[in-house]
Amino acid sequence: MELPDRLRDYVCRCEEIPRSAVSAAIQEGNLTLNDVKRRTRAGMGVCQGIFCLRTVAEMIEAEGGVDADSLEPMTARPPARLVTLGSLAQLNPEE
Amino acid sequence: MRTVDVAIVGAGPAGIAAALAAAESGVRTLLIDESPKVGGHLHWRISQTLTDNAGLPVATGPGPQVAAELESLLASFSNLTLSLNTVAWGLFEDRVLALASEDHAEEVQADAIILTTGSTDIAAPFPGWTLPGVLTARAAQTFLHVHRVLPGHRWAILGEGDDADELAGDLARCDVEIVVRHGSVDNFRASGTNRLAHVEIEDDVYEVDALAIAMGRQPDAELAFQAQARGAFVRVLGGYTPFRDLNGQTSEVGVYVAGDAAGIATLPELVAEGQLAGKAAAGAGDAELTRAQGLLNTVANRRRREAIERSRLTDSLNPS
Amino acid sequence: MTDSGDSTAIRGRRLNEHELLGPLPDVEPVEITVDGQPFSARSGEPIAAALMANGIDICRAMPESGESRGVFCGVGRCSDCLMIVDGVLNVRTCVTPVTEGMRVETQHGLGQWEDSQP
Repeated sequence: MELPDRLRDYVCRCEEIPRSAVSAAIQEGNLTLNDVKRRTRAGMGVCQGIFCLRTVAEMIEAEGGVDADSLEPMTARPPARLVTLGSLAQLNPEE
Repeated sequence: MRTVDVAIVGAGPAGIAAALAAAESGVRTLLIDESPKVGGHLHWRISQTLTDNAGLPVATGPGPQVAAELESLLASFSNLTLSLNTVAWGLFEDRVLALASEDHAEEVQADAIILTTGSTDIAAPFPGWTLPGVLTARAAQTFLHVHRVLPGHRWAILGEGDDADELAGDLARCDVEIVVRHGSVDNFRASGTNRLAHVEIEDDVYEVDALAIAMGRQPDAELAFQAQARGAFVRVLGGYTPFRDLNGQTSEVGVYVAGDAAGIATLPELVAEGQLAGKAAAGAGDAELTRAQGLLNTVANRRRREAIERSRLTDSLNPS
Repeated sequence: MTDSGDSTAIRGRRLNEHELLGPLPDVEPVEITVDGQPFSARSGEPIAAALMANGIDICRAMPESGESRGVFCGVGRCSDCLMIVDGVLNVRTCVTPVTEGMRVETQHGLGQWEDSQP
């Protein structure tokens, strides 16, 4: 069965980052989740890395020789869910 | 800013157990969930409570029925507020939760916060995993049981273990065909022009119209990490897990994590953890906490006990 | 672009009976349009469920590759089911309920976050 080239082996679905880009970043010496994220955008999407963080951690372990159990999680930043600017605009900091 | 004594994020079985425990001790309790109903995974993992109520104070039955009974029970407490259709999108200093619903946003300050935010499916990538028709086990269960729509009639299941077996049982009840089951992403790919049409395993090709990724679940304690709680990648617990003390409190004083969010657990384990965290957050005395810890120890299997030990917040880490 | 690609549009997708959950309860039908075509939906169900029940599996085309995407996580965590709803970009259709007369459109490419307010 033919697999079209465009159906690449993505690591990060949200930002369309292929496995090859993550591997290249690890080879360049990016050996933390945050460094790989900054270099490739993997984990920078709407899902906050929840679907690619493990894969990136396993790739850093396999290809970069760093124990995955020792990796710090990606920096967690709000919002934890996609929220509209409209609903946030109602927050009154003076309240 | 609104203030409460105990705020609980996530109204699944662990969150409900925590809310009931806190409310029973008389404190002002707020239970928040992003969905329109309480019950969390009882609505999509419908077979869990058929024979065992896991310590929840209701009869056994299909998940949604158990959830409905729990919602009535929660409503009987005048000191408990239920905020459904509400997303807790941020957790800031001094235990301030940022909440948003479709037409409202506010911040709530709580003396104690319990995060029972559950899990997210694990999805290891493979070629073609972005095709429409490929979905997580949780999406499959949600569409089958909550929305009552079939994502497909000819299924492939990727993954092995309890979650894959549970989904296979669910699909059998929906009278669809399970064409192929495969354990890992090695030599596995999905193909199709604009939507899933085939899965290919080595040289074998199977015609399918749905593919569920059932590779297990990972704890989802993002709010705890936003609040700077310390944690680590603990494989046996399923992923990034906050360190916790015996009652479920993290390195951030007054911020608790219980249930799947602290490491993938069985239903009796996460209910017992919720109860314990609920009592601790409501300021229960030592005797009551010891009893709740004992109950958790009774229901926790060896794997869970060892895993919890690996993410134990030691005294030196605990600022309280 | 509301076709399902390989002309494998799946028919008979409503789960009307279930041995544990019982018959599908009756609810008020609502009408929505998807890329201009009318479809019937169940009041209160998410847009993505209504689409799937009507044989529509594609929600968006990705900005980089143009690849089609449909429901993946089904619970509002990923970005695969984002569509344009009543003119608003980047709506998570798996967790947004249908309403009468709702206009749903396939989203092509990247909606800017700033544009996502009506």
